[in-house]
Amino acid sequence: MEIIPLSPYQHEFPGHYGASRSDYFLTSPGDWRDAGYRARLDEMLRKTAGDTPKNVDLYSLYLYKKTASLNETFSGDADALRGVHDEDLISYVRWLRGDLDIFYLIENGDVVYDLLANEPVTPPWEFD
Amino acid sequence: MAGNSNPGSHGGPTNNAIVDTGTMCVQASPLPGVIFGTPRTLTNIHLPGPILVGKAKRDPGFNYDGSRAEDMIAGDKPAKSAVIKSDPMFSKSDDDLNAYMRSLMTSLSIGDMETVALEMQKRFADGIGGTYHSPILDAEIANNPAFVTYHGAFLKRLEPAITASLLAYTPSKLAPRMESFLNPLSLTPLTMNLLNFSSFWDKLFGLGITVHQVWSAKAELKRFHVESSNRFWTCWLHYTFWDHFGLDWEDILKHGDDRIPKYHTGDQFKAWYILQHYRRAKPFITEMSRKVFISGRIS
Repeated sequence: MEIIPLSPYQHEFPGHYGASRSDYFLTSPGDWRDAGYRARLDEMLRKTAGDTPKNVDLYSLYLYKKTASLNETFSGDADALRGVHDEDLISYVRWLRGDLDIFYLIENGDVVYDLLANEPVTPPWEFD
Repeated sequence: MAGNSNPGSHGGPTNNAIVDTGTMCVQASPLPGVIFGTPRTLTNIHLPGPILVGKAKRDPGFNYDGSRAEDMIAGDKPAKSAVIKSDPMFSKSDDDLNAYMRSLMTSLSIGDMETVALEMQKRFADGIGGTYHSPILDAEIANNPAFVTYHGAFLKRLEPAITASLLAYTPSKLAPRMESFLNPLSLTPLTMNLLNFSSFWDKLFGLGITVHQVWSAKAELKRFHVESSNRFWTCWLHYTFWDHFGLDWEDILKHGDDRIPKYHTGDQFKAWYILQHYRRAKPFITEMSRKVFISGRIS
């Protein structure tokens, strides 16, 4: 598994919770039902975030599935991703004031697994 | 004030009927100790609340990452939706677009919910914004199977959390009303999932088009009471749900070509989007509430 920075790699803005930053990445899709895949994803995304969550009030990490239109050549901004490529979102991870408080796995736009609770989300709900 | 020395069934002091001169107090309560620990000195608790016991991980109007929710933005003419300017719907007047949107509401709602859907459409078209609340919508949610399942799942997590917090409860010397503000149960609010109305019946009766999936939620306890002698607690569990009555571009990507239930359903969604993002209509927040009486044993 490989995680590649996606343009825009970094989006900083004054958000509802204070100074906010979102980073965007690409990867090849895996099966979230596979515990091994989930463990690798968990480790890689935490490693990718590093110390960044400590430097802002809210840090978000978006991981998208690599597709024909969403790949290394993509040059849109955060607005061009949201609401356009939601179906390709694989994971959303959030640190609020340094604490990891959301780690969702997403399939076809629906939250299907909560990695912090380590259990499937039943019934799944839309990540919109 | 009269003294108070009667031993209770567990060896601790109990309440004595007295009258405080010049006050409304007709009974003196002993100072509370550790309520369910050792020694087993049981004390009644009554907290008016609200005590926050559950919260979704995003707030009304905002995305998880703290940015503004696109479906709550109006008149922004976003670049990503520029393609809609070449759609035949774009050249229609506001009156025509509102007629399309009303038709969408009536095609996806029945009875009282149709009244609610049309009321919401009018508020949107009039550009009022703010927060909308309807007792009809509250009642519709209360009777919805999705809510019943949701409540059951939440209660399964909440009851043990309340019991655990009671076992660890240390009373403060503050008056109960003041204490309520200080999270007296020391209960970390549970994470709440998002309630979704997407069944066939929801789509038919009106919750699908007016709400579909709540955006945010919170749960609070009110009138929390511990009956020490029989070791049980009771309270009202108040749910508040919020949703956005507005569309984002993703909604058009998903529904802009819909032909069900009517041939023009997709166009009706486009009308809604154009009115909001290219004309003067304003989205608003829908607030729904439901309270449930709950109780549990302390063991």
